Order: sequence, then structure tokens, then C-alpha cells
Amino acid sequence: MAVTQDDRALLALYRQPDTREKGFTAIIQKYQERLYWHIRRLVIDHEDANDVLQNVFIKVWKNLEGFREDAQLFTWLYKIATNECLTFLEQQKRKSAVSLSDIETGLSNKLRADSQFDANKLEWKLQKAILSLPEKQRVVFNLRYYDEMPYEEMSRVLETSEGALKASYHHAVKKIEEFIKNG
Amino acid sequence: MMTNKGNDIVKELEEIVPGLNLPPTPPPYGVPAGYFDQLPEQVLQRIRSMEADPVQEELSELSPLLATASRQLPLSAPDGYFNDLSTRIMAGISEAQENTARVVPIHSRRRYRLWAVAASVVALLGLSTLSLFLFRHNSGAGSFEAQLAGVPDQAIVEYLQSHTDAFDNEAILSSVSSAAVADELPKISTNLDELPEEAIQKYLESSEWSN
Repeated sequence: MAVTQDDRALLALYRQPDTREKGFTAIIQKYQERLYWHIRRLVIDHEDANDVLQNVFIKVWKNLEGFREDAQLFTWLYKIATNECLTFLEQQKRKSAVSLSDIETGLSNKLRADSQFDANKLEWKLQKAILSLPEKQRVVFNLRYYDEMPYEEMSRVLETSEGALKASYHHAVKKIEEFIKNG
Repeated sequence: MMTNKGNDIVKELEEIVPGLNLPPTPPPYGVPAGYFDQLPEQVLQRIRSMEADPVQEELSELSPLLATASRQLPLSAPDGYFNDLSTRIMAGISEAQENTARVVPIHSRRRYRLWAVAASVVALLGLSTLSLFLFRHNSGAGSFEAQLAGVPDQAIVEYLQSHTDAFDNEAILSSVSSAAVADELPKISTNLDELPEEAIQKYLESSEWSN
């Protein structure tokens, strides 16, 4: 799927040296909230999400010149953001040199630290259940459940077959349901 | 326009049935105020509700419990966070560009090159020693396998059931298929001890590391 008319106009602005920053600012403003929430759902903490988001846009700035317009800009941005989140979580694991379950506990603690946290409410139970999933399955679940992303598009973002993504989402939903029922 | 049209019809009727004396149009039916303003949105709402939401439909089939839950994320961003985000990101980009553009003096480049040569020699020696050590102490791999053999099968099955998903299945399948291909390929020696010293020296001389 090629780039949309609106994005093409923003990219044209970006490609002109005198309007480069203006074009890039417009791209940030268009996609910042969607990317922020995608990242936030994966790293939980706002400060971490802010760091990752800024890194994502710096990477986008460095690589936008080579972006081919036969793909959707949005898909490309999601791909960079997802990779950056997974790298961040991997670094967290290495830094603390602890097991995967401890990292999950760390994210759960960040969740509990939220001022609005209420362990009895279903929406928070759901967040805890999502954190119990393996990282990539968590990405798939979030993209489908919160972003309502079609499998076809998700397949381009995660470079995985639609069948594998469907299976992954189905497993994730079952695990979450189990977690909430037993939790 | 409507009234003229109505009058024409009344005239026509009088011609057909003289003395019928019908009241002039429009008809006496009332329409609620703003009805036609709201109509397009009402129709669109009905169309939207008729069109299936594939995500919700799929979720209802998979988990009625999750289908009833709110899909609103309970987390929130600080007030006004997005207002100046683009400005902060652009400032970060400028800073990153300035750092990249910093000039490195030539003599420090030369020192870097010397360090790189020294590091590569140390790495080469280290690799040779390591490969010799591994070659002579194959029992190390054996002890790992022995440890793995000590883990009960049930524990491995449970771990895989809770920690793998479709991504891993694809990775396992692809590694199995590439391993099958690799078995058929001729083995290439990676033992650096087997390389004659002359060949290593020649390589170093021909490469930029000798400068």
C-alpha cells in the first residue's frame, strides 16, 4: 500500500532543504500521539516512553531520506517504534541481569506505581495480564486490541506472516482471559 | 417552487373533477424541528452500527469476558505533554547533529588506528588461545548437555508452553530447515591455529591496519 496523499505532501515539505524542519515537525505532530501510546503500552513508564519516542523520531529523521513511498509512512514508523521498544526492553534486561520474570515484575511494579492504579478494576487487571505475555505476543495483542490494526498491516510492521500473527493473538487472548479469571 | 407545483396539481384536478375543491398543498403533516439537519448523521450512525467491527467480532468469539471490557487504556500522559513535544524532539535532533559534526583532530585518528591495530592483534591471539582451549576441552559442551539432561522433560515442556508463541514456532522451523541444509554443506575450519603465520602477516600488510 503506497503512501497517502497527506503524507506525500508532508514528505515533499521535508525533502525541500528550506522546509525540511517544518515538514518533519508536521510529521511528528501527526503521529506523535499514536506512537507514544504504542510505546507507552509496551514500556509502561512515561519517562521511558518519552525517551524511546524521542529516539524513534531521531532515527526517523536520520533515515527518512531513504524512505520509499511505495510503503505507508505510518507502517514504517510503527516498525521503527516497535523495534526501538524491543531493544529498550532487551537493554533493561541486560542492565539488571535478571530473569525475564523479574523484568515482568519490574513492569508490573511500574504499573502499580501509577497514581490511578486500582487492583480491583478490570482495566488494571487486564494491564497486568498483558504484562504476563511474552514480549512479541504483547506487541501483537496491543496492536490488535488497542490499535485495531488489520493483520495485513501488522504483518508488514512485524515482518511476520498473517497466520502466525492470528495464532499469536488468539493465544494471547486465551492467556489473558485465564489470567483474569484466576487472578 | 413547491407551491407552484402544488397549485398546478390542484388546477389539473379541478379540470378532471370540477368542483372537487381540494385544499392547497403542502399537506398538513409536520416535521420535527431540525429533522433534515440531523438525518445524515442518523443514517451514518445506523450504517456504522450495521458494519461489523472485525476486532470486536473476533474478540467476542475468542473471549466474551474481554469483549465486554473497556478498551480504554487506564494510563495517562502528563498534562500538556504533546503540546511542545515536536519542539523538544527537533532540539534533540539539532543536538545530535552537532555532536556528529564535531571535528576529530588527525593525530587522534592516528592514535585510534594504532589502538585498533593493537586491539586486533590481542583479539587474534585471544581467539587462537580460546579455540585451542575449546579444542582440547570438549568436555565443557558435554557438561552443559549433562546439565540440560538433568532438567526434567516436563519442566521443559511447561516452559515452552508458557514462553513460546507463533513467532518462536516460525524461528524454530526456519532454524531446523537451515540446520538440515547446513548438515549437507562441507565443514569449514574456523580454528585460527591452522592458519600459517605467514598468511596472517601478509593479510595484515595488505590491509589498512599495517599503516
